[in-house]
Amino acid sequence: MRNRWHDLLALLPLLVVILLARTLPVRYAGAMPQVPGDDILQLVLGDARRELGRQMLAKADSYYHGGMTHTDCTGLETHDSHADHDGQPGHLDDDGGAHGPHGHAAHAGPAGTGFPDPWQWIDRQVHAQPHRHLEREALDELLPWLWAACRSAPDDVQARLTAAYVLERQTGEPRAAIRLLEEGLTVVPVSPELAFALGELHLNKLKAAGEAERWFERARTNGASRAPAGDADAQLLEIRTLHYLAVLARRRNDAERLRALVGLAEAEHPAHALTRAMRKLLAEPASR
Amino acid sequence: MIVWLRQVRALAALAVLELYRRKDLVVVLILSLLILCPLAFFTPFGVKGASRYVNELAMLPIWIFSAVIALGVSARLFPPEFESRTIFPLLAKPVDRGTLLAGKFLGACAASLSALVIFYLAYGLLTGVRQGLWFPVVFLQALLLHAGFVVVVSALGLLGSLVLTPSANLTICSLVVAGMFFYGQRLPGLVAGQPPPANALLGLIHWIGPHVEFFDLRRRVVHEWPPVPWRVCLAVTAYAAAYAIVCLLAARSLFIRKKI
Repeated sequence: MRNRWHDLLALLPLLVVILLARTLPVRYAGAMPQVPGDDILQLVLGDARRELGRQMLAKADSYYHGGMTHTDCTGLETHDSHADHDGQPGHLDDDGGAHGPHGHAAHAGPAGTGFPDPWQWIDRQVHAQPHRHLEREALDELLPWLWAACRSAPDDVQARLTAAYVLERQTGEPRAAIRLLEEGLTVVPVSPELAFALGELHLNKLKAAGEAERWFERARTNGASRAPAGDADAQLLEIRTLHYLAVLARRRNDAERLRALVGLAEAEHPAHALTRAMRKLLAEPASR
Repeated sequence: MIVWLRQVRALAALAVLELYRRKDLVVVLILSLLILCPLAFFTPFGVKGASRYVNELAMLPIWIFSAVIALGVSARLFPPEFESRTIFPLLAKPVDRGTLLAGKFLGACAASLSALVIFYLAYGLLTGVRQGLWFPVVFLQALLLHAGFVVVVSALGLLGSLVLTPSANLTICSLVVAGMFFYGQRLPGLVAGQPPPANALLGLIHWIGPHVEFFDLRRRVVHEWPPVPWRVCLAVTAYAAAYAIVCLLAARSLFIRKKI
């Protein structure tokens, strides 16, 4: 009899727990530590997932270099071929195979002791390798890490751009890349880079000029605040966007629009090669 | 000599039996399969063809578990004998301390190496089936150098077991092995960049520490690099053998002086 009362008493805190669990999220809807709708990675890792995403992207980059990381190459700053190796999608655009006769062994740091160090000799022999890039047909190897980077940090624009580039290049089918970039824009709607990449894919791969123009316009809108603030990447993206829009206007024989775009380019980037190219477009006679 | 060999073989067999009796290896293999099987069928973005990530992720548990097994087996060779006092009947038989030490060490090596061979066979089958690469030269070199790693770690564990408590031995050996594995390659650069006396200390670590990073050929295997020159393999194997002998001589010296 006494045990039954104990059982009933145990129900009381259980009821309190259930009541609190039901009322707290309603009472403090905007102040709860966890945001509803976030996935398990966000709940478990929090902001650490961004770092995880960066590491996954770095891993993809190291796979592209045959397993070498930038820290493996201590003399990287003297390595001309790395000048453009900052994780840009164009990074993967280099020609395949090894760079040249020099190897990473040449970069190994000195012991500073002045006499031969057998341990360093062994290490250089075991770990040193020529700088190399994955062959085009082996670029599939990057996809697991790029997938993981996109999953870990859905707001990592660079990861999405690189993944979309490799995906399109390997499959020859732009739809999956477009989906990936569009997903990215739902997470980072103000990204000009994602919108620009979507415009390029629609124009160059799907030949959908109307849809491409819509994305280029969005890229221009998204980058409007960054370019005047002195962001060099945003400025380059802006002039490239204007150039694409000018080409599309030219195709439509929309001279007024073209003049307006050239005016914008001359105002913001008067000396840029793409501005000159746009002026040429303006000077060309209208096509049939 | 034949008697000595028989004694050593009997002692070594005990260590091997102990590893398989405790089913550590089975647990490790099942754990590895549980990690790798879903990964082997994973198709990122629906694209098939990537395999290096599986190879890399397969190599990681092989390295971790081989180190754990080598350290675990070697660190457990003497302390239980001292605690349960079974060391006395062992030494009461015509087995001297040096023979006992050699037998125990060879047993630890044989047990750890047998586990290593099983791991590499599983890895070789995995890459063979997935990529059609059946035991390339660089894979065999990786196995050889990994065996050197196991020998060095076993020797360190055995030496530590004679001067430290089992938990302290495991902790310190793990720290030394992990520290050298990750930072051994960077030590020369660190020596050059530090003021005295830190550079002298780092220099000492660089010269006498176990350079276990020499044995790591994972990148070459995973990224299908060309094999290491055989003379380099030989040099690294000689390094492993020399390091293990130095540890064993130190252990022998300690064990002979040890009051039981």
